[in-house]
Amino acid sequence: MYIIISGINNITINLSKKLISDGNEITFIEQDKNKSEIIEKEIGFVSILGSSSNKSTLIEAGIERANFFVASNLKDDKNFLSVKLAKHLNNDVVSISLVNKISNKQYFSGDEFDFAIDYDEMISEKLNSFISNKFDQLIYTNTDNHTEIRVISVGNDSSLVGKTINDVDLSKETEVIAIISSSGSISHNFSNTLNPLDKILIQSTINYKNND
Amino acid sequence: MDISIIGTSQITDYVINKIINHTEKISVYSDKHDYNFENKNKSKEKIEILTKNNLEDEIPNIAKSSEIIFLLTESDSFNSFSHKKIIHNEPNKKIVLLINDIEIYEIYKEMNISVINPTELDNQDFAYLVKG
Repeated sequence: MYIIISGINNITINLSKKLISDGNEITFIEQDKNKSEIIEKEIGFVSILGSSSNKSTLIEAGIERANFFVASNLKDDKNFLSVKLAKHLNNDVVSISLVNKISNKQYFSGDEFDFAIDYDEMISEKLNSFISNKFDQLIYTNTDNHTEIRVISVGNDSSLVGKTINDVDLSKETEVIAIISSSGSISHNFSNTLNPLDKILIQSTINYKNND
Repeated sequence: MDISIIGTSQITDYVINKIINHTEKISVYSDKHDYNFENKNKSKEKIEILTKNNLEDEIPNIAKSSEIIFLLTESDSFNSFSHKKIIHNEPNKKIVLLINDIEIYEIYKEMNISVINPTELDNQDFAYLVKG
C-alpha cells in the first residue's frame, strides 16, 4: 500500500514506523523544514516540503497512485481542505482525517471523508491502551528492572488540558516522572494543571504478556 | 437585509463597494484588529466592524443571524471549512466564499458553489446576489 501522511507529529511518526515495518510505502507532506529534516534523519524515507492543500504538492507526493491519505495537521481547517483536494485528485484514495477539536468532528462528513479520528480520544481516553500497546513514544527500556520510560503528548484541545495528573486515569504500574512544558521547563509539581503541548514523562512496568 | 462579511482581506473593500448601496447594514468580523481597514470604514454608517478572538467557533452563530454571508479571509482553508460549518446546519444559506488558489477555486466552481477568486472578480455580480 502507498500512504501519504500530511503533518509530522508524534502520532504520525509512530504510525509511519508501524506501517513501514508492515511493508507499506510512506510519504510525508510537511511545511516545517525542521520537522521534515528530522524525519528524514530518523526514519529515512521521503518527505516533501509543502502544503497538502496545494495541488502541485499532492501530485508531487503521488496522490494519484496513493491508497490512503492521512490528514493529520494540527489545524482542522487545513485537514478539511487537504482531504477535499486529495479526493478530487484521486477519488479512490481512502481519506483519514485527524480532528483536533471535538466540536469540529461533525463537519468531517460527506463523500470525501472516509474516516475522522478524534485527537482527544486518541490522547486521553485511550491513554492506558497507548501505554500497554506502546503506541506513544518510547524513550528508554530498562531490562534490569523491567521498566520503560515514555512520553505522552497533550494535544491542543485535549481533554487533559486543565486537569492535574491526579485526575488522569493511569494504570497502577505507571508512575509520572515529570511534566515538560512546551517551553522546555520541567516540573515535578503534579498538582499543577496540564497545558496544551505539555509532555508527560512516565515510567511504567513492562507487561510482557501484552508484548508477546 | 443583514449581511455579514468574515475577514478584512483586500477583497473585502471591493465587495463592500459593490453591495453597500443595496443593503442597510453590513457587519464585518475579524479575529484581529485591522486598523487600516477600520480607519477607512469607520465613517460609513452602514458598516459595523467587530473583532472576535474565537472567530472560527463563532461562524455558525454569525451565519444564523445573517441572510447572506461572505467568507473573505486570506486563508482558503478557513473559508472552505467555514463554508462547510454553515451549510452543515443551514444548507440553503446564501454564502459567497473567497478562494485564492486557482485549482481549489475551480473545484468549488464545478460544484456550483458561489465562489470568487481575485483574478475573476470582474465577472461577479454581487449586487444581483444581494438584491435577489
